[in-house]
Amino acid sequence: MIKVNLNGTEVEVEKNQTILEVANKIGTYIPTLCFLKGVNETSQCRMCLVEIEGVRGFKPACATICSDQMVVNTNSESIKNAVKFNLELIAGEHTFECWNCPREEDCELLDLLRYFDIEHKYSKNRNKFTAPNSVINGCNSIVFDSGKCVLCHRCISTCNKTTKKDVISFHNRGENTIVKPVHNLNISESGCIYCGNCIQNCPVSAITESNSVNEVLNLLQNTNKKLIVQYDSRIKYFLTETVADYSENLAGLFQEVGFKHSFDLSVGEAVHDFLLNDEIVKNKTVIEASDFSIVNYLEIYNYDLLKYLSKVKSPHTLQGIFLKQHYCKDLGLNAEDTIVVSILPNVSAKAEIEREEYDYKSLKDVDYVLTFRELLRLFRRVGADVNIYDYAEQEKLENINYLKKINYFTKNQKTTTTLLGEEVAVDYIVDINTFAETFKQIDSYGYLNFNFSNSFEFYSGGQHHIKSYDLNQENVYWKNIAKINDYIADEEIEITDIEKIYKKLLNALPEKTMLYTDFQKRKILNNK
Amino acid sequence: MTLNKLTEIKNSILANKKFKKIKNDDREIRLILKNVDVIDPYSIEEYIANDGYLAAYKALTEMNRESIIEEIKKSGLRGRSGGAFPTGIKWSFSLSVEADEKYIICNADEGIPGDFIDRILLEKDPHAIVEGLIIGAIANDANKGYFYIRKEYLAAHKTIEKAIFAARKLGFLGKNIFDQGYDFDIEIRIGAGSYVCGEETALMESIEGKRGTSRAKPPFPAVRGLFGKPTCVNNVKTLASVTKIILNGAESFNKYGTENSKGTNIFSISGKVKKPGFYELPLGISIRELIFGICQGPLAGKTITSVLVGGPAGGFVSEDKWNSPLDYDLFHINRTMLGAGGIVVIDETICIVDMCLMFLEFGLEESCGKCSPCRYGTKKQIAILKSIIEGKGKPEDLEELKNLSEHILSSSLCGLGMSTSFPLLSALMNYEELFIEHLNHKCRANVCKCGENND
Ligand SMILES: Cc1cc2nc3c(=O)[nH]c(=O)nc-3n(C[C@H](O)[C@H](O)[C@H](O)COP(=O)(O)O)c2cc1C
Ligand code: SF4
Ligand code: SF4
Ligand code: FES
Repeated sequence: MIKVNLNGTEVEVEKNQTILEVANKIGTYIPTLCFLKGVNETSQCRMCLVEIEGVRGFKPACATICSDQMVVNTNSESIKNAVKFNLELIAGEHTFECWNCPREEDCELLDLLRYFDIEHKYSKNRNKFTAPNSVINGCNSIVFDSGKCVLCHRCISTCNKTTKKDVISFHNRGENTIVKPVHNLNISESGCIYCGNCIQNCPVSAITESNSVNEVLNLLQNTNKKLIVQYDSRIKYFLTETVADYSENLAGLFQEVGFKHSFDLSVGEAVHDFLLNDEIVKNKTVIEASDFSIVNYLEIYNYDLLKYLSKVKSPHTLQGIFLKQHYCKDLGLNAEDTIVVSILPNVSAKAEIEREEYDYKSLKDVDYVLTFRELLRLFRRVGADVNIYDYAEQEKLENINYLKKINYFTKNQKTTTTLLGEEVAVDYIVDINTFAETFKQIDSYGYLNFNFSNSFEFYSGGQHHIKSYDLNQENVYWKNIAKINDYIADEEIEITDIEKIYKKLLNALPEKTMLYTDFQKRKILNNK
Repeated sequence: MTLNKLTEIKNSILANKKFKKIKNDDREIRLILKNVDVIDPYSIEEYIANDGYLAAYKALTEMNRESIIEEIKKSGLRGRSGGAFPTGIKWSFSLSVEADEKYIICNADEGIPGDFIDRILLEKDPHAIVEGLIIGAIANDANKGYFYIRKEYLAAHKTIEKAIFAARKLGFLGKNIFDQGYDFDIEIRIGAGSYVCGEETALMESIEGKRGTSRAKPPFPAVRGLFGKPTCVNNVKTLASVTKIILNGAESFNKYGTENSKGTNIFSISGKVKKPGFYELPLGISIRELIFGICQGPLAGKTITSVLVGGPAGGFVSEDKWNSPLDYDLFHINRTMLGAGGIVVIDETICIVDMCLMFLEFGLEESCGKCSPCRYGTKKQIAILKSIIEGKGKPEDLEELKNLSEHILSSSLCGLGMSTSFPLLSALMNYEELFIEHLNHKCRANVCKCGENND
């Protein structure tokens, strides 16, 4: 143990702790912007500067290791001025569009500017990176906007840590420095797998999901199309976390904005598991990839494993097929006039639905994908009150119960494992870095549910709070998994009932092949 | 390779050739520049004839790591790149660090506008640097060395490449050098034309094949440097001095200079004087003597108004301080770093405010773009200074410039951001009246278009 003097208080600290860690432990606030523990420790934003006695200049608290008898000052006038100056400079280069920004006000930069009461005094020096020059929108999933970028390096480190590839990088130098896909490539050519982790970690909105809110709104308001929405159940935790007093009456909210029907994804998930089961029995070894970024990863970096990839489509696209082919008919709707919108946490799905494999006789399985925060935006755009809603009607919405039944079956089909004391409904959580090796080892088990190690964290669709990234980051992560699990547990139902429903669904399809994709084919296409 | 063999080569050359002594000025003391323009840089034999590779041989046979470092410490040598960090102390860090591999790098990225001494040494006495690198490697227990040479120095690539090749052929580099059981070899890396890549951490990123941006320190290179291994980075002039110190002993070096700044330094003088050029002189010589004595004063009919010491990382020294000695303590008097020894002499035809702008633009252009104070702050400084130069300045702008400079200086991540404000700060400190004149639409040197009806 060594002793450090922090703002006049003696603190006992362990060796190799940073000043930031010590300050966090005793509850002293030090602002940070670029720092993400274990991910980005480049100390380049200079927000966390502190004064150390006997040391010339200021030092970054996030990277400076405490030494014995160090005397640290975090709140002197000169430090406060340095932080303010820095924020004024950063603000002077930022394109403020908070009213139409995907952050929905939950923004790390905005929080800092508020906290330090920053004057926007350099606003007259216009930022040269303003839209549309700054926006790179070369794919269906991810958009770069350097007008918002604070050049914190988080996305680059994140990309490197998740995929072990360097898809994003700094370009140019000095005032022209800008973050883009490597070698000035378009996003779709850069080797990006659309996992979305960079979006998750960006403190502002310089990397975001591509925006589909306007198109969906337009369809809702200006056309005769019938819109059906299907949502990942984790949206509830997202709304609970972002919106105080969230009413839990999602179906009501959807109705209010003009969706004709709303479902969760249990039908798709059940069918997915049925089909996957068949596949496992037949092929013994299957990589299940509901998250499309895994398909991308294999296609780009791991060709030889493609043959193990499950050919069953992902739950939301499967359910999309059923909604158009079966449910529509039941309701007397025309499939061509029906638009299916999925509400999902992963941006990769935006690219997924545009692929030709998800198209049957020019009828798309799913027409639009919105992330969770895009949905919140949609609600706010039309003035739907997310907070207070009369939810007496809720029980009447028959489709919720109808779908819940199948959900139980889903659970029984899955093997559960215990991770850090929590039951989790996946067989393995595999880190992308050790993916190939792990895969070889567990080959004999026959069934691999492959997940990016932190894709659970992504349930909020690119949105996170400053709090989630304090030093307890890992705890938040495991808590989220636990939450997801709770939801899946439900009352008991007769299995025979579900089988009946399932058979009925299958019989309604024009062709059974539309439930499958073949990415082997895609690989050859790519090669051309 | 034995001592006899070295003497043999020496004698065979001396039998046919007599080496003359060259000086640009009688007051010069040529320790480091001794071979420059005297020997053929492509001939290792001629270098050996001038006691070449004797120091490296001595370091390997008569000395050990501790005694080499002790000798360098005793000589008082401080890094000649501008940082002025005592070389002996830098080397002694490596004594306590354990690692399976250690590196030493010769920093030949000389990027400071107006500096050219490294180039002269690289092109005209390459073996002295190679030898210095060998001695440094022994002292730092490194088995691999790098030359990081700036792209534009095409001739230097050639001389160094040839020198390494010749040294390898004679067994001074490679496995079992000088037959003493020590392995050391050198690789050349060419920069891509970036000033910040002269900063040691950016330089290492560049050698690793990455984007040349500075890393945060700590960890210091001595602990985690190139490829994550302990690394020592030294300037060309430093290494050339090391060779001479080991060859002739610490006293031959530290008898020159001042209390805190020992030895000779090579000053390169450019600008408005009669006899610009480079001169090797003891540290501590006064600015006045250098400018008016050795360089023979101003051009005909002109007066010298200021002296810029240390290039874009240095400052303007006003007339009242011209009697102070040029050494590493200059900072305390004038907030100016001696830097690498580059001195620019300014007369009334040059506008200091305009020059400040030029240096800031250089700083922004060369900023790696990593940290916000340097990247954004310099840009704001330029905007303000430009408005002053265009005659649109406001009185409060000067305060703003000072505050911005202090902020950038204290908050930047690396030496580049910390130093780009030096010229401006020193100008504001010593020549504030010039800025005020510009605010009142007047430029003494008639350089800036700050007239009232200028749009
Ligand atoms: C912006 C910047 C540029 C630099 N450029 C050079 C350079 O061109 N050549 C050099 O030798 N050192 C340069 N340095 C200093 C190096 O970082 C390093 O301190 C030096 O190579 C150490 O050598 P020394 O101990 O022999 O002085 C630069 C430093 C900074 C901050
Ligand atoms: S990133 Fe933050 S500060 Fe910037 S426009 Fe969006 S909400 Fe506003
Ligand atoms: S895009 Fe976002 S995460 Fe990446 S450097 Fe810019 S602000 Fe940081
Ligand atoms: S948080 Fe420490 S430098 Fe960015």
